[in-house]
Amino acid sequence: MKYPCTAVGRAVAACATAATLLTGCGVQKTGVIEVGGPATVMAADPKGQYLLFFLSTEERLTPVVRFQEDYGLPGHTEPVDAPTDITALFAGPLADERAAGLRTELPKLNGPVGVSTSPGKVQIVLPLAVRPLGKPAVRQLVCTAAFAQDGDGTAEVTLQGEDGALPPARC
Amino acid sequence: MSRRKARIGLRTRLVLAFLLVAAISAATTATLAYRAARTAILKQAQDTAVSSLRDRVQRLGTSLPVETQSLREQLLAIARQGKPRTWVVFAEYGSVRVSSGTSPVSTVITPALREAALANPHGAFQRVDKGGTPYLTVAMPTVFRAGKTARPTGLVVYAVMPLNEEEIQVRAMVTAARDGAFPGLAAALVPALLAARSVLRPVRDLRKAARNMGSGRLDTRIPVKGSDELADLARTFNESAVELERTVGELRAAEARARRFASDVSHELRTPLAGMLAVTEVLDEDAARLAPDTAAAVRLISAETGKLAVLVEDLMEISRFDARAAELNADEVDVAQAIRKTLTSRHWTDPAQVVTDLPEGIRARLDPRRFDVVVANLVGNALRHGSAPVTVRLRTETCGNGPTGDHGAVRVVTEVEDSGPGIPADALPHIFERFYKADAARTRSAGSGLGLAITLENVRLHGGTVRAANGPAGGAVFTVTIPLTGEEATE
Repeated sequence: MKYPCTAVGRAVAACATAATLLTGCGVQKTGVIEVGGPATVMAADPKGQYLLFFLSTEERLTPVVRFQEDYGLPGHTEPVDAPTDITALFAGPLADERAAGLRTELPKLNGPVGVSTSPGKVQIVLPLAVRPLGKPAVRQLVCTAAFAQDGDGTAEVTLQGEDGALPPARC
Repeated sequence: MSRRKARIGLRTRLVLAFLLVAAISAATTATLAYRAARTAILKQAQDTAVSSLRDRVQRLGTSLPVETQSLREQLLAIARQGKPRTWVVFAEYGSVRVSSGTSPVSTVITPALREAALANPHGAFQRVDKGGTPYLTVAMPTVFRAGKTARPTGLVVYAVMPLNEEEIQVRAMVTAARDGAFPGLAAALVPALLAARSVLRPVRDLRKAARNMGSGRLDTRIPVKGSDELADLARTFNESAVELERTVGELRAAEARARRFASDVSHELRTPLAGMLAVTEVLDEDAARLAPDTAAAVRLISAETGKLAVLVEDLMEISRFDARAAELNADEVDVAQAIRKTLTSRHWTDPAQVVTDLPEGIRARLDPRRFDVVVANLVGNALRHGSAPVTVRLRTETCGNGPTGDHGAVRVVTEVEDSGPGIPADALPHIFERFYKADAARTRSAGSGLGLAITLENVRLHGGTVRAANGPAGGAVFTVTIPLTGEEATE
């Protein structure tokens, strides 16, 4: 009984395979495929603007733009006033920013902020203990300070608190 | 298994093989072409969608944090400019969800795409199947230039586009491939049948030729066409046929020579024997007056000369059969009368010797001389080798399914049974052979040794059969069956 099975069966198998190949497919779904770069939008002009970093709902660092006018300063001074910037960061997101789901993890500030800069380096002196600060809070501070120092945000930031200094970090 | 194998003929197998090859190649080609075309169609749609979305989003002016109202207006503008087709555009920033459609959040965009867009500032797409409809979802994260670096703004724009038209195009290709395959297969049937024919015709010729050869036409040859394996086969067949014809011809010639020799010898012996017979008759008459010893010698010579004359006559008779020169002079005769005449002329009329059971009125077309020889040989044999009384029976029979296959033919059956010990079983198959001695010890016999052979030939000439057997009483029974119509021998 082997003979008919092999000859006929082979033909049937071939036809079935062909039919499956021809009919069993339309547009298949895929995984996530990356193509090309992101879209670059006009969002911030480094001149006369502060970039503050808050946290989104997904714990992601999200920049917001504040203008010097917002702090009652004359516009377009160069560079931006870093202590003002840091103080504003500690003050937390404004109403419209909160409405967009932004928040902060920094505690309230109860004293002045000291900033000393040298080329490519920023040191922030805070009137509070820095070690208990969470990682997101530290990143908020580092990025905001870095962008306050220069428009590129590449400066190395050292956080100095009442309980000592954190190792220098970059944004 | 073998029955099945026999049923699937060469033609069917060839055609099936052709169709199989055609189907496989059509399916393979269609599949490969289909895949390439589908990839091309989808790739074009995707690339166009991703690059045009990037293009549109780059013209987006936004504040940070985003301003919902203006973002929505810009999204509506982007939605109208969708490429290759209109799409629904969604924007996500923090907890802000804005879209160009009715629902601010898409149900099609997968968490994986969101995760990828937020973690990695790269354009990305994903094809999603939602409720049977394929969708293309594109994620376009935005970055802003900060000095020399670019930083993500946290705003991601998504576009969702149904791939209905691409799906229709892809399905149309499948349909086209399937619809093209069947005419293709039908077209493949034509060369398949032609190829089968080109193979089968020589095979058929060969079979016919082989059958002709088998039925004796040794001059059968096959026309050799082309130079393929079948032509080789035909050539070999022809060569074998030539060889066979030559061998058979030689054998036939040798046989004919041998027969002619026997025939010539008997002819040559006939004339001197006739003279000798005349002389022995004279001597026989004078024997009474000779000395007793001389008289015995004379009588012996006379008797042996008579036997020699019978032998020569029988030899000549059998030579005529061998040379196919024997003719049937058929005549409508009363069979019972013919048998009685034979018995009377041989003086076998004593009821102690021969018992007859001859119903009247059976008429058949027979050659009277040959039928006389048949009956005389059988009865003479029975008297000589068996013992009296010998019974001669005549009857007719209607055979339903005779060995010759003639249904309902009426045959004349003549039986000659003796009361002797019968024929030894080992001698039965050879009893009709020439010069065959049933009893090896009896080297000298009254007969020529050709009687039964001549009987057989005569019956065959009538288209009948003769059988030897042993009856229930032990005596030998010879049964002659001849068709009533007296058909000519078909030989």
